[in-house]
Amino acid sequence: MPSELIVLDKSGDVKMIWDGEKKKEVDAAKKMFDDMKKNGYLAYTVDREGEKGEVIFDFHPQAEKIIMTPQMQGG
Amino acid sequence: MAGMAGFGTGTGSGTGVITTCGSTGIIWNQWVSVTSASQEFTFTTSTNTAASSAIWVNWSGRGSYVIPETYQQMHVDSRSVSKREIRREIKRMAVRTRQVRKITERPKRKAETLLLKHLAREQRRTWMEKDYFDFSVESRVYRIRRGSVGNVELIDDAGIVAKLCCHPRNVSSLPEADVAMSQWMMLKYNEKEFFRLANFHYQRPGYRSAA
Repeated sequence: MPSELIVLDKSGDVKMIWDGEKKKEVDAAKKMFDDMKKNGYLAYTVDREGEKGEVIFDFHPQAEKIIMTPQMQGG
Repeated sequence: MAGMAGFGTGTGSGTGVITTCGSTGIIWNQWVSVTSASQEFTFTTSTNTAASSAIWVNWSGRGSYVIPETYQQMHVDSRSVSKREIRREIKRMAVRTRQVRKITERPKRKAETLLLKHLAREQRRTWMEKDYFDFSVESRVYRIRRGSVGNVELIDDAGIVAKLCCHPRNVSSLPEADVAMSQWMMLKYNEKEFFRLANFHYQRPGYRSAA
Protein backbone atom coordinates (compact mmCIF):
# COMPACT_ATOMS: atom_id res chain seq x y z
CA MET A 1 0.00 0.00 0.00
CA PRO A 2 1.56 3.36 -1.01
CA SER A 3 2.16 6.02 1.63
CA GLU A 4 1.06 9.62 1.35
CA LEU A 5 2.66 12.92 2.30
CA ILE A 6 0.25 15.89 2.38
CA VAL A 7 1.61 19.41 2.74
CA LEU A 8 -0.87 22.22 3.40
CA ASP A 9 -0.07 25.43 1.56
CA LYS A 10 -1.67 28.37 -0.22
CA SER A 11 -2.58 26.16 -3.19
CA GLY A 12 -4.72 24.06 -0.84
CA ASP A 13 -2.32 21.17 -0.48
CA VAL A 14 0.44 19.29 -2.26
CA LYS A 15 0.46 15.50 -2.17
CA MET A 16 3.32 13.07 -2.69
CA ILE A 17 2.81 9.32 -2.80
CA TRP A 18 5.67 6.90 -2.25
CA ASP A 19 6.21 3.19 -1.97
CA GLY A 20 8.20 2.30 1.13
CA GLU A 21 9.93 -0.49 -0.79
CA LYS A 22 11.30 1.79 -3.51
CA LYS A 23 14.36 3.72 -2.45
CA LYS A 24 14.05 6.42 -5.11
CA GLU A 25 10.49 7.26 -4.05
CA VAL A 26 11.38 7.16 -0.36
CA ASP A 27 14.31 9.53 -1.00
CA ALA A 28 12.09 11.98 -2.89
CA ALA A 29 9.47 11.96 -0.12
CA LYS A 30 12.16 12.36 2.55
CA LYS A 31 13.65 15.33 0.69
CA MET A 32 10.25 17.02 0.54
CA PHE A 33 9.68 16.29 4.24
CA ASP A 34 13.09 17.70 5.21
CA ASP A 35 12.61 20.81 3.05
CA MET A 36 9.29 21.55 4.69
CA LYS A 37 10.68 20.95 8.19
CA LYS A 38 13.42 23.50 7.41
CA ASN A 39 10.61 25.95 6.60
CA GLY A 40 9.13 25.43 10.07
CA TYR A 41 6.40 22.98 9.10
CA LEU A 42 4.97 20.61 11.70
CA ALA A 43 4.49 16.95 10.85
CA TYR A 44 1.93 14.40 12.04
CA THR A 45 1.62 10.74 11.15
CA VAL A 46 -1.96 9.54 11.00
CA ASP A 47 -3.52 6.23 10.05
CA ARG A 48 -5.58 6.01 6.91
CA GLU A 49 -8.80 6.76 8.78
CA GLY A 50 -7.17 9.73 10.50
CA GLU A 51 -8.05 8.36 13.93
CA LYS A 52 -4.66 7.68 15.49
CA GLY A 53 -1.64 9.84 15.08
CA GLU A 54 1.33 11.56 16.63
CA VAL A 55 3.77 14.39 16.12
CA ILE A 56 6.95 13.37 14.31
CA PHE A 57 10.21 15.20 13.83
CA ASP A 58 11.90 12.83 11.37
CA PHE A 59 10.67 11.21 8.19
CA HIS A 60 9.01 7.81 8.66
CA PRO A 61 9.37 5.80 5.42
CA GLN A 62 6.76 3.26 6.54
CA ALA A 63 4.16 5.79 7.73
CA GLU A 64 0.72 5.35 6.18
CA LYS A 65 0.09 9.05 5.94
CA ILE A 66 2.01 12.16 6.96
CA ILE A 67 0.27 15.54 7.18
CA MET A 68 2.46 18.64 7.34
CA THR A 69 0.98 21.94 8.50
CA PRO A 70 2.56 25.40 8.61
CA GLN A 71 4.23 26.67 11.77
CA MET A 72 1.70 27.88 14.33
CA GLN A 73 1.59 31.03 16.41
CA GLY A 74 -0.67 32.67 18.95
CA GLY A 75 -3.00 35.32 17.62
CA MET B 1 -19.14 60.54 -56.99
CA ALA B 2 -16.88 58.74 -59.40
CA GLY B 3 -15.29 62.00 -60.56
CA MET B 4 -13.95 63.67 -57.41
CA ALA B 5 -12.74 66.65 -59.34
CA GLY B 6 -16.35 67.62 -59.82
CA PHE B 7 -17.58 67.46 -56.25
CA GLY B 8 -16.57 71.00 -55.42
CA THR B 9 -18.96 72.39 -57.96
CA GLY B 10 -21.77 69.92 -57.56
CA THR B 11 -25.45 70.71 -57.46
CA GLY B 12 -27.80 69.68 -54.68
CA SER B 13 -31.55 69.22 -54.80
CA GLY B 14 -34.36 67.54 -52.89
CA THR B 15 -35.29 69.59 -49.83
CA GLY B 16 -34.00 72.70 -51.43
CA VAL B 17 -31.47 73.33 -48.72
CA ILE B 18 -28.64 73.72 -51.15
CA THR B 19 -28.73 74.23 -54.82
CA THR B 20 -25.19 75.12 -55.69
CA CYS B 21 -22.02 74.71 -53.73
CA GLY B 22 -18.78 76.36 -54.58
CA SER B 23 -16.48 74.88 -51.99
CA THR B 24 -16.08 71.64 -50.06
CA GLY B 25 -16.52 73.48 -46.77
CA ILE B 26 -20.05 74.54 -47.61
CA ILE B 27 -20.94 71.07 -48.84
CA TRP B 28 -19.62 69.57 -45.66
CA ASN B 29 -21.49 71.99 -43.46
CA GLN B 30 -24.71 71.15 -45.24
CA TRP B 31 -24.13 67.45 -44.94
CA VAL B 32 -23.35 67.32 -41.28
CA SER B 33 -26.43 69.43 -40.56
CA VAL B 34 -28.64 66.63 -41.89
CA THR B 35 -30.06 65.13 -38.70
CA SER B 36 -32.87 62.93 -39.96
CA ALA B 37 -33.93 60.93 -42.93
CA SER B 38 -36.58 63.54 -43.80
CA GLN B 39 -33.84 66.08 -44.28
CA GLU B 40 -31.91 63.83 -46.60
CA PHE B 41 -31.22 65.38 -49.95
CA THR B 42 -29.64 64.35 -53.17
CA PHE B 43 -26.39 65.73 -54.39
CA THR B 44 -25.53 65.79 -58.02
CA THR B 45 -22.14 66.08 -59.60
CA SER B 46 -21.29 66.03 -63.20
CA THR B 47 -20.86 62.30 -63.10
CA ASN B 48 -23.00 60.88 -60.31
CA THR B 49 -26.14 61.31 -58.23
CA ALA B 50 -26.62 59.77 -54.82
CA ALA B 51 -28.48 60.16 -51.55
CA SER B 52 -26.53 62.11 -48.93
CA SER B 53 -25.99 58.98 -46.85
CA ALA B 54 -24.44 57.21 -49.83
CA ILE B 55 -22.28 60.15 -50.84
CA TRP B 56 -20.20 59.85 -47.74
CA VAL B 57 -19.72 56.13 -48.31
CA ASN B 58 -18.51 56.85 -51.79
CA TRP B 59 -16.23 59.60 -50.71
CA SER B 60 -14.69 57.89 -47.74
CA GLY B 61 -14.03 54.82 -49.86
CA ARG B 62 -11.64 56.82 -52.01
CA GLY B 63 -8.10 56.93 -50.72
CA SER B 64 -7.34 60.30 -52.21
CA TYR B 65 -10.02 62.20 -50.32
CA VAL B 66 -9.03 63.86 -47.05
CA ILE B 67 -11.73 63.31 -44.42
CA PRO B 68 -12.46 66.54 -42.53
CA GLU B 69 -10.91 66.46 -39.04
CA THR B 70 -14.18 67.02 -37.21
CA TYR B 71 -15.73 64.09 -38.97
CA GLN B 72 -12.71 61.88 -38.28
CA GLN B 73 -13.24 62.60 -34.59
CA MET B 74 -16.95 61.85 -34.82
CA HIS B 75 -16.16 58.66 -36.67
CA VAL B 76 -13.71 57.45 -33.99
CA ASP B 77 -16.05 58.40 -31.13
CA SER B 78 -19.02 56.64 -32.64
CA ARG B 79 -16.92 53.51 -33.18
CA SER B 80 -15.55 53.46 -29.63
CA VAL B 81 -19.02 53.36 -28.10
CA SER B 82 -20.70 51.08 -30.57
CA LYS B 83 -23.01 48.54 -28.99
CA ARG B 84 -21.13 45.68 -30.57
CA GLU B 85 -17.86 46.78 -28.97
CA ILE B 86 -19.51 47.28 -25.60
CA ARG B 87 -20.96 43.79 -25.80
CA ARG B 88 -17.54 42.40 -26.74
CA GLU B 89 -15.91 44.24 -23.83
CA ILE B 90 -18.53 42.92 -21.40
CA LYS B 91 -17.91 39.40 -22.67
CA ARG B 92 -14.14 39.83 -22.28
CA MET B 93 -14.61 41.10 -18.71
CA ALA B 94 -16.92 38.19 -17.86
CA VAL B 95 -14.39 35.66 -19.18
CA ARG B 96 -11.59 37.34 -17.23
CA THR B 97 -13.69 37.36 -14.04
CA ARG B 98 -14.42 33.65 -14.43
CA GLN B 99 -10.70 32.94 -14.94
CA VAL B 100 -9.70 34.91 -11.83
CA ARG B 101 -12.45 33.28 -9.77
CA LYS B 102 -11.34 29.84 -10.92
CA ILE B 103 -7.76 30.55 -9.86
CA THR B 104 -8.76 31.87 -6.43
CA GLU B 105 -11.45 29.25 -5.78
CA ARG B 106 -9.28 26.22 -6.60
CA PRO B 107 -7.19 26.27 -3.37
CA LYS B 108 -10.36 26.69 -1.30
CA ARG B 109 -12.00 23.71 -2.99
CA LYS B 110 -8.86 21.57 -2.53
CA ALA B 111 -8.59 22.47 1.14
CA GLU B 112 -12.30 21.80 1.75
CA THR B 113 -12.02 18.41 0.05
CA LEU B 114 -9.02 17.43 2.15
CA LEU B 115 -10.64 18.47 5.41
CA LEU B 116 -13.96 16.78 4.62
CA LYS B 117 -12.09 13.60 3.71
CA HIS B 118 -10.66 13.45 7.23
CA LEU B 119 -13.78 14.46 9.16
CA ALA B 120 -16.36 11.99 10.47
CA ARG B 121 -19.87 12.12 9.03
CA GLU B 122 -21.39 14.29 11.77
CA GLN B 123 -18.40 16.64 11.68
CA ARG B 124 -18.77 16.96 7.91
CA ARG B 125 -22.45 17.80 8.31
CA THR B 126 -21.89 20.57 10.87
CA TRP B 127 -18.94 22.00 8.92
CA MET B 128 -21.00 22.25 5.76
CA GLU B 129 -24.24 23.38 7.36
CA LYS B 130 -23.12 25.39 10.39
CA ASP B 131 -19.47 26.21 9.66
CA TYR B 132 -17.96 24.34 12.62
CA PHE B 133 -17.03 20.87 13.77
CA ASP B 134 -16.54 19.43 17.27
CA PHE B 135 -14.04 16.85 18.47
CA SER B 136 -12.77 15.64 21.79
CA VAL B 137 -9.29 15.22 23.19
CA GLU B 138 -9.51 12.99 26.24
CA SER B 139 -12.46 14.52 28.13
CA ARG B 140 -12.21 18.00 26.60
CA VAL B 141 -14.45 19.03 23.73
CA TYR B 142 -13.27 21.58 21.17
CA ARG B 143 -15.13 23.41 18.47
CA ILE B 144 -13.32 24.77 15.44
CA ARG B 145 -15.31 27.38 13.57
CA ARG B 146 -14.76 28.50 10.00
CA GLY B 147 -12.40 31.44 10.22
CA SER B 148 -8.76 32.12 10.81
CA VAL B 149 -8.34 33.94 14.08
CA GLY B 150 -9.93 33.30 17.47
CA ASN B 151 -12.01 30.51 15.96
CA VAL B 152 -11.20 27.69 18.40
CA GLU B 153 -13.47 27.15 21.39
CA LEU B 154 -13.23 24.86 24.38
CA ILE B 155 -16.82 23.96 25.19
CA ASP B 156 -18.90 22.00 27.65
CA ASP B 157 -22.62 21.46 28.19
CA ALA B 158 -23.00 25.00 29.56
CA GLY B 159 -21.42 26.63 26.51
CA ILE B 160 -18.06 28.24 25.79
CA VAL B 161 -15.41 27.69 28.44
CA ALA B 162 -12.61 29.48 26.60
CA LYS B 163 -11.93 31.04 23.23
CA LEU B 164 -8.45 30.35 21.91
CA CYS B 165 -6.38 31.90 19.18
CA CYS B 166 -3.57 29.89 17.63
CA HIS B 167 -3.19 29.70 13.86
CA PRO B 168 -0.63 29.12 11.10
CA ARG B 169 1.87 31.95 10.66
CA ASN B 170 0.90 32.46 7.01
CA VAL B 171 -2.77 32.44 7.94
CA SER B 172 -3.79 35.12 5.44
CA SER B 173 -2.56 33.10 2.46
CA LEU B 174 -4.11 29.80 3.55
CA PRO B 175 -7.65 28.65 2.78
CA GLU B 176 -9.84 28.52 5.89
CA ALA B 177 -10.19 24.74 5.71
CA ASP B 178 -6.38 24.43 5.84
CA VAL B 179 -6.31 26.69 8.90
CA ALA B 180 -8.93 24.46 10.56
CA MET B 181 -6.96 21.34 9.60
CA SER B 182 -3.76 22.79 11.12
CA GLN B 183 -5.55 23.70 14.36
CA TRP B 184 -7.29 20.33 14.51
CA MET B 185 -4.04 18.37 14.01
CA MET B 186 -2.23 20.33 16.68
CA LEU B 187 -5.00 20.09 19.26
CA LYS B 188 -5.42 16.40 18.57
CA TYR B 189 -1.77 15.40 18.64
CA ASN B 190 0.03 18.22 20.43
CA GLU B 191 -2.55 19.86 22.70
CA LYS B 192 0.00 21.15 25.21
CA GLU B 193 1.94 23.00 22.50
CA PHE B 194 -1.30 24.51 21.21
CA PHE B 195 -2.11 25.87 24.67
CA ARG B 196 1.46 27.11 25.11
CA LEU B 197 1.18 29.18 21.92
CA ALA B 198 -2.47 30.20 22.09
CA ASN B 199 -3.84 33.48 23.33
CA PHE B 200 -7.09 33.38 25.26
CA HIS B 201 -9.72 35.69 23.80
CA TYR B 202 -12.21 34.64 26.45
CA GLN B 203 -12.18 32.52 29.60
CA ARG B 204 -15.22 31.65 31.65
CA PRO B 205 -14.79 33.06 35.18
CA GLY B 206 -13.12 30.45 37.33
CA TYR B 207 -11.70 28.50 34.37
CA ARG B 208 -8.11 27.30 34.66
CA SER B 209 -6.40 25.58 31.77
CA ALA B 210 -5.62 21.97 32.58
CA ALA B 211 -3.50 21.43 29.47
